[in-house]
Amino acid sequence: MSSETIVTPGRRLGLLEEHDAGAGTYVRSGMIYSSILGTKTITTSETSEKPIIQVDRKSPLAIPSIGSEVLCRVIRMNPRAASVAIMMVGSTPCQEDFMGTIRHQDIRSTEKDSVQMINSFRPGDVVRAEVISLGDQRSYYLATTKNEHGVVFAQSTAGNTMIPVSWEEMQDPKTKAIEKRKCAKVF
Amino acid sequence: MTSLILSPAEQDFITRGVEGGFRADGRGSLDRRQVTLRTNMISQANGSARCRMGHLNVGTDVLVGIKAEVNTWTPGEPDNIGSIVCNVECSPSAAQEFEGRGADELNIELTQLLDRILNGPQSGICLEKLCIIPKQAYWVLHIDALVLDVKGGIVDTLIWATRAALLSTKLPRVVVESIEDEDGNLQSEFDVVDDAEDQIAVEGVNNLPLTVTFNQIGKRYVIDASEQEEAATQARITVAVSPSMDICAVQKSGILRGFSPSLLTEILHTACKIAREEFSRFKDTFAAVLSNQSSNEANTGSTFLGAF
Amino acid sequence: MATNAMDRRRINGPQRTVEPIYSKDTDPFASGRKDSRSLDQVRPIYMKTGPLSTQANDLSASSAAAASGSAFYEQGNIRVSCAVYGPRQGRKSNTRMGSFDCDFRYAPFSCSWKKRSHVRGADEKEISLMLEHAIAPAIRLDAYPKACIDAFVTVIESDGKSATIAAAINCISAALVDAGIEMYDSVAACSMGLWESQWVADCSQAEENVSSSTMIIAYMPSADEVTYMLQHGKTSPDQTDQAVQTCINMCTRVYAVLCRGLQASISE
Repeated sequence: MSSETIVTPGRRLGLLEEHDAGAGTYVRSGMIYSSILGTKTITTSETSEKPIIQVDRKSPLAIPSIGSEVLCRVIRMNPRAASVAIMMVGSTPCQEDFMGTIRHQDIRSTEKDSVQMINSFRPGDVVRAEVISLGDQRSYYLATTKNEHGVVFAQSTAGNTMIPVSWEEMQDPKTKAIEKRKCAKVF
Repeated sequence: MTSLILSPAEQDFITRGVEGGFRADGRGSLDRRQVTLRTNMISQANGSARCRMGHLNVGTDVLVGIKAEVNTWTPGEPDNIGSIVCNVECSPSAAQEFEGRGADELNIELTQLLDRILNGPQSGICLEKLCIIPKQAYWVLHIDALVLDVKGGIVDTLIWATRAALLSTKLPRVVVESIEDEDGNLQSEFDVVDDAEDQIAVEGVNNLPLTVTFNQIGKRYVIDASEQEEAATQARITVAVSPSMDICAVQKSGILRGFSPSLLTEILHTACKIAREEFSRFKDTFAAVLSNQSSNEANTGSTFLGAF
Repeated sequence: MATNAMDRRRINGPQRTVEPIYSKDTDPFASGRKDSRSLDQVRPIYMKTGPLSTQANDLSASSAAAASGSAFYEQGNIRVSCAVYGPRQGRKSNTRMGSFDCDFRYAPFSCSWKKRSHVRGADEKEISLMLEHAIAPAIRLDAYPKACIDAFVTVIESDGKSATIAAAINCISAALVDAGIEMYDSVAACSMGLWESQWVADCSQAEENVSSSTMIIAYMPSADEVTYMLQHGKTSPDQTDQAVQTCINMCTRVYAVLCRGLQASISE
């Protein structure tokens, strides 16, 4: 159940007492306003008691924030950290790559001291990670400590796409060679 | 304007204070800091002034030097007026981030603001009097400001210093002679009299405006913000008011917020009210400076620093 | 005058020259306004969002970034185009809030009086700053921590300096909305000139040349906030008051036009 109208930024949508503010809206002095151009939709859900007002348009612009899950490509590595380019935030592709860093102490949650960069990632790997800090001037800090975070796509030295065989090994299906990675848990 | 970063607690402290009418240094919201003024300390310039807003160790300091030059008229320029060229430069000694190209944006903003206030009929300066011979020669006043120290309220300090410098500017007298040549055309020539005693003031400098800069912090505003207050400022508006209580220029800056129309109207009226007091204060300060200087003629390094 | 720097490789002009006779500025208000507008009427506005190619949402194109949003804006003879990039990785280190940068340029052929040089002049840099101050209060910068939003404005044709700046503000505003940047409200701007104690809206170049002072106001109607104000030239406080009120009213009208255009852009 929803009602649709096209609204522009700054359009008053409803009272905060009667609705919850969803995506594409903001709240000022008890009122919900639209913050983007799009169609206004009011949805009711079981989880919240009040109907949610939100404004939808083309997919929202992606920007990493703390806690968001990102997909990134490893660009270069050194023994202490890997530099990555963030390509997707959640399920939204980025307009332009954001730079990120995965430090060696953020690769896994246990036995951090024995982690070796070279046994975790290789340049070119696609990694699923979580943003843990907005980081320094250049890059966001990412972590792959969770089980479901880590390498999701990698090619072997022979150039074939590998499949994960354990949480820290991947295998080339053709040459049967095994390479070390910090793999993401397969859903 | 500087890269001072406040913690949320500091920000909140200042904002609540301003909304309640209190400021960290005990001033009221419409009070200015102590002003120290000194004029004519640069012997190479036609006029100069140094103005410091605030106390000896924490304050904004601007030095303005004015050089007059005779320029030859070229086609396309206005026929019978002189011109004013402004330039503001923030010295890296004021703040580390002014090093290199760091001050570029601020320099441009201040230069254009000064130009907007001074260059034109709104400044009160009689630009026609700066013309020596129409379509031949005119005076150019190069107003060069050097910002030596930045601790908030830079625009107002700049205008105070510029006004004082222009008031103390003396131009050499110019003698114009007209002769009729063989074709019957009138040919004019001029001579700059090179005599330190025989100098004249710039016409109309008494009509120069002063500015009042309002910093909106929370729901209220203050004038002459300190460095911390400036960091807590959401929007800033500078109003230039002439001695005849006309508004000469208004410029808003600040990227965080705007003003509500009612607050804007209130500010414009307050600006005129404050300007009235500012002019009498400027007059008193300037008179005191002149009487001090006449009693102490020597222009040595110690007098340059003496007042500061 | 340039005798010492004579260039013999070129055809030089005669040694003695006489000044051409310039046509006198005729009074543009002598018999009403040239384009028969009323004194408080803004020139007709045409606006289109998305004239520039925007990036399709696929990863393969991520190397060559296209604008997130763009707009083209016409107001009488004024033509302005704007492209918005971002939010993208910021160059400044303010992590709490995003930053908004603006780059304003006149095209070399945009002004009536002379060709503009290719290097960015001080006035263009200042206008860039003005636009930043006018637009940034409308953007929800807190929603974009550590990111940077860039707007590039090109004036294709200008007619009246203040009116062009106002047009640029409207154009950026439309481009930001097109890009889907989260904003508190869109900003509408308009300019006025004072001519013999009478405020005239949206002055053309000829009208601006004879006005004694000019005013630009940028306003967010829904938030009821004046995000930018610039007055150049002397007025009495009452005149300024009156101008602020009139400008705000006109901004509201411009805003309505902008909103209609934006709504139309996605209902197609």
